[in-house]
Amino acid sequence: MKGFHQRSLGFSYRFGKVCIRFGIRLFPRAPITSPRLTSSKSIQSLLVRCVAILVLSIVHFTVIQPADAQFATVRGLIVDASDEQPIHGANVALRSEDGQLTGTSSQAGGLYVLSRIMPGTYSITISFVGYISHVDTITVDFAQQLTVNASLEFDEAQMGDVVVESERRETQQRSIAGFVTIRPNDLERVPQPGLSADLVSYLNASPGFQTAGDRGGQIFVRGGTPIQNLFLLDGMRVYQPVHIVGLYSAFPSEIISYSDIYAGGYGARYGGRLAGVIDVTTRNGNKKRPAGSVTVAPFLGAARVEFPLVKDKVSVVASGRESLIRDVAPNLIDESLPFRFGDRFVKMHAFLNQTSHMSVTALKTFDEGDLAGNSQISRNIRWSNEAYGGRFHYLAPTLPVLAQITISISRFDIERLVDQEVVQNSKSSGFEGQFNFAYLLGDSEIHFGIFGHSSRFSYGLTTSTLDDREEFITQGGAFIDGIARMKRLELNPGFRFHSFPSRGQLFMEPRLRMRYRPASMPDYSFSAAWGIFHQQIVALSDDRTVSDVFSAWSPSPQQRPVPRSAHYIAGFGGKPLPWFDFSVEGFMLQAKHLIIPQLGEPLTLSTQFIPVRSDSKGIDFKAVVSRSRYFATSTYSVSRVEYTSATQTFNPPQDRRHQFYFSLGSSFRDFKFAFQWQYGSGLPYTPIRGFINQIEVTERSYDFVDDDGSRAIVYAESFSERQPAFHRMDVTAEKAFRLWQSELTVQLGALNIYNRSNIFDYDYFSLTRINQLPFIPSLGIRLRTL
Amino acid sequence: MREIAVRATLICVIGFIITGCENSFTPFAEKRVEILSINGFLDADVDTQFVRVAIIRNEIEQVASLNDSLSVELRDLNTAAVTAMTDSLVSLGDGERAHLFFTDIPILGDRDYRITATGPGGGTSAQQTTVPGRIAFARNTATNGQGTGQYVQTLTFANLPLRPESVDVVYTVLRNGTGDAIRVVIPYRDLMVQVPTISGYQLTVRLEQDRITVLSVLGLPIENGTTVLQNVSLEYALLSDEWRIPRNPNRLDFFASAASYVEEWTLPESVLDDMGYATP
Repeated sequence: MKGFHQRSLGFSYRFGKVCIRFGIRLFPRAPITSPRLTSSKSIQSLLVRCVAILVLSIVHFTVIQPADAQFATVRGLIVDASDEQPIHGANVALRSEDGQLTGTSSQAGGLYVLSRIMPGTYSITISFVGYISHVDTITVDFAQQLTVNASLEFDEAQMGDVVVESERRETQQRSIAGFVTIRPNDLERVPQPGLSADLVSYLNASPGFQTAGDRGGQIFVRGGTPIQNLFLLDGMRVYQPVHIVGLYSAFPSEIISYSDIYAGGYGARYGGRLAGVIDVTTRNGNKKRPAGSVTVAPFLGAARVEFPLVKDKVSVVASGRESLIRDVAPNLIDESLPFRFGDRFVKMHAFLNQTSHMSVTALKTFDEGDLAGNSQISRNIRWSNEAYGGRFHYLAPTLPVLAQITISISRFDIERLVDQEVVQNSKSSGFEGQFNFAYLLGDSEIHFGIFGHSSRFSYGLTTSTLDDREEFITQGGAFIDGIARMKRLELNPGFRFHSFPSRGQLFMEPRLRMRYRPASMPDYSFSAAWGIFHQQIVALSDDRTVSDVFSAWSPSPQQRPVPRSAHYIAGFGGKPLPWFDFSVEGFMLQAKHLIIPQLGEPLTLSTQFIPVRSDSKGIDFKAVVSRSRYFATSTYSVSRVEYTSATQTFNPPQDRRHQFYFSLGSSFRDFKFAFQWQYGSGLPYTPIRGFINQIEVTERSYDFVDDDGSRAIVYAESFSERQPAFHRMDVTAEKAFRLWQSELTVQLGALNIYNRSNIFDYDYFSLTRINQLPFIPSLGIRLRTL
Repeated sequence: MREIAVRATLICVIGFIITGCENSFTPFAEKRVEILSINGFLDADVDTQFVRVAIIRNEIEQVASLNDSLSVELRDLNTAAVTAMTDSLVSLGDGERAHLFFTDIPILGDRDYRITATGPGGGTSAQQTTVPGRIAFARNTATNGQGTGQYVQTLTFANLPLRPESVDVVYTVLRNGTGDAIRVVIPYRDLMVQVPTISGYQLTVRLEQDRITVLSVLGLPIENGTTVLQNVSLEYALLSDEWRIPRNPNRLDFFASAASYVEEWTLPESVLDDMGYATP
């Protein structure tokens, strides 16, 4: 951002020699001020104006529209008839007597609004894949606010086709410039030994996402680092949701209603992160009758229970998972897998009336594991997440405005232990509030809101400095995000005013997403996304290990600029055959002012940090085949990530050049078979040159004659070598049995069926290689109510 | 189109299989040669210089061979004089052995020295240091100053980028005007104030306040008027740049230098009288 009109509620952007300015001038013209508003007073003033413009927008769109007075509004809530779960993304179509069609889809929380409806008689159709459509005839009068709620019944006749239909819906929701909405059905189609489908397994199979393998608990999006991703669960921030065994996360499919996944290029309602967003909305629980499930498999045991607290109005859903692999592995595969992890989730949801509902959610996760392999000295890592929050949805009685208020607190602790002693720790916690509004204009929508976030970080990087460093940061601002759906073109421009008061800086972040369907190729679409992003939080980790799991979270140094990234994504996709869908997406993510520890230095509080620039680019391919008996998914990504510091250019540890994924699922009578194969080319690591007795010279009187020194590793050039490639094949076969009102599923499976030794880490002191998960057979049993 | 897609897929899969079969992993960098580590520093204030040299090992527990034949030479780059340092093998507490090289050549300030170690396999390692030289400083007249009514004297060190390792003001006094000279050392390093305009430091010597310390060290009351102040001196030690952070990140070598210097001066009799010192 090159200039900001303090008195004009506008801004200017400069692209080389071209300057674009736009805004609303409310006060006499004033000179353009400096690029950054450096005083908190200015920022406060600007925030007040941001809020003012939002209020003005609301007033403009909702009150000062005398011409709208003749129009009617149709609104309502769409739920699943079996359990009163709100349905997000259901289609609402209104057809007038003369055949004119207008429509919308339900928002988060199942609410919808159709505004600017001329008086008359209409046929209304509310539909969602897998459900019987709700069809009715309604008559609306001048200025009437009509409520049409719908409870959609599950369509038994579609049961056999749900898989295919689900895929069709996914096709409609094909990755649009990095964005896709995932539902539990999608997750359950990813083969996973253990009958516990999980969002992270789906992400592993998605273009743009990668992990270091099946250990470690970290996920990378298009060249970004794990800390550059925003994970939300019902609006609550979850700092590190992926479990230490990377097949699982805090997001099991059993609790998910849907997930919005952005592999970059995300809209203005999200911010504070440089790479991707995973926004998970959970199920509300069954409001009709008690339901639940129990799963037992070698990896973990899981239980879910949900029940109405007040029938049709208030429900509770609770889920718990606990790893079993640490106890099972020695007997099952004669090998120690010293990992323990689990998560607890509980949510209460209540319909307050026909146009508002609220929920309260709590989540806890824990992870612990010894990463030392066969070394005599244990090297444990452990972390935990906690998040508590509430969310309130409100559909204004007389206005086509949806309001969503979210308040949450989150916490994340991580510790590294050597021989049971904590040697490094990091604690992060934060309080967050967000007020979002959506003004619904039929096919088009305007979303706007304000947000505030306060965080505390404390960490220590040696035994004697645990918790020594403590820092606080605040963030706040506002956003406006529009969606205009035209016949061929869908535009989603947005702006985010993101301020960092603790740094005395405010940034304007423009965002743009779009999709275009050419008239001559209705089954194909082009999509693109662009945006500017800022993130004040950085991760401090040690570059000298093959795979480092520990990261201390910290604000970026005060004297350095706030890290910033720009995303450019362009894609093309289509459906050349009824059963074949493909997409191609190119991306470029450029980030600057990133901070990393001086390469080769041990991670301590006195470690020097250096700024680097990141350039990440690549192309992702995805192809999906959906037939009645089988489906197949294949993705391939080729990418390159490069960091440039003042003195050198290198490829960071997340620079995976090639990633390939293939899965095939088939159903035969009541049996289902599936297998998947994942391949990832080798990641960079820092090799060593050898060992010496290191003499720590701290003062001039040092005696070189008698000091033994301490045994130390001499490292070679950072990230100058690459690990061997990662690949793994998993297979599953399952059969479901009906038992009264329940379904019993038995699954036989195997992870890493050809027992590939994929490297995870290397213990330099004992020269021991530590591999990822070996061949693990699995027998899983799940009982769940229907 | 379909054939192209099939062929491309096949090529990719074959490529993945070929690269995927490779599973070896070595922690060591590919280009491995004999690597020597040098640890030590030249100290202009001592008679013998010691430097420890080791060949880095392949295993953490490996013990250095007794038969390693190493040679180390020290070159004065200003005079081109070369000195072969003498080897001695020392045993360390954990069973490890190290080569300790020494020499007794005098080390001089403002000189550049280069040390080169050569291993039995022909591997070499070289490090270089510049021994810090005497620094010039300006000394103003002692004044009864700054409204305190107490004598102070300001020393100005222009173009001094880094704070010296130590800075002491030393008072040489005679108790009751007779007997041996007694040195009273008062640390001043932390009182050096960085002055950006001169790219250096300033130091205000608190002469009258220090007199109380001197008398206290001598065990005399403040009223004592028989102590003779022979002279005031500044003793400072300088370290070469290699001591500064960031240190060698590879933890392989450390080679630096250090030197100390003394500057003496006397105070006018009128000042000594005013402060309460006796005149010899």
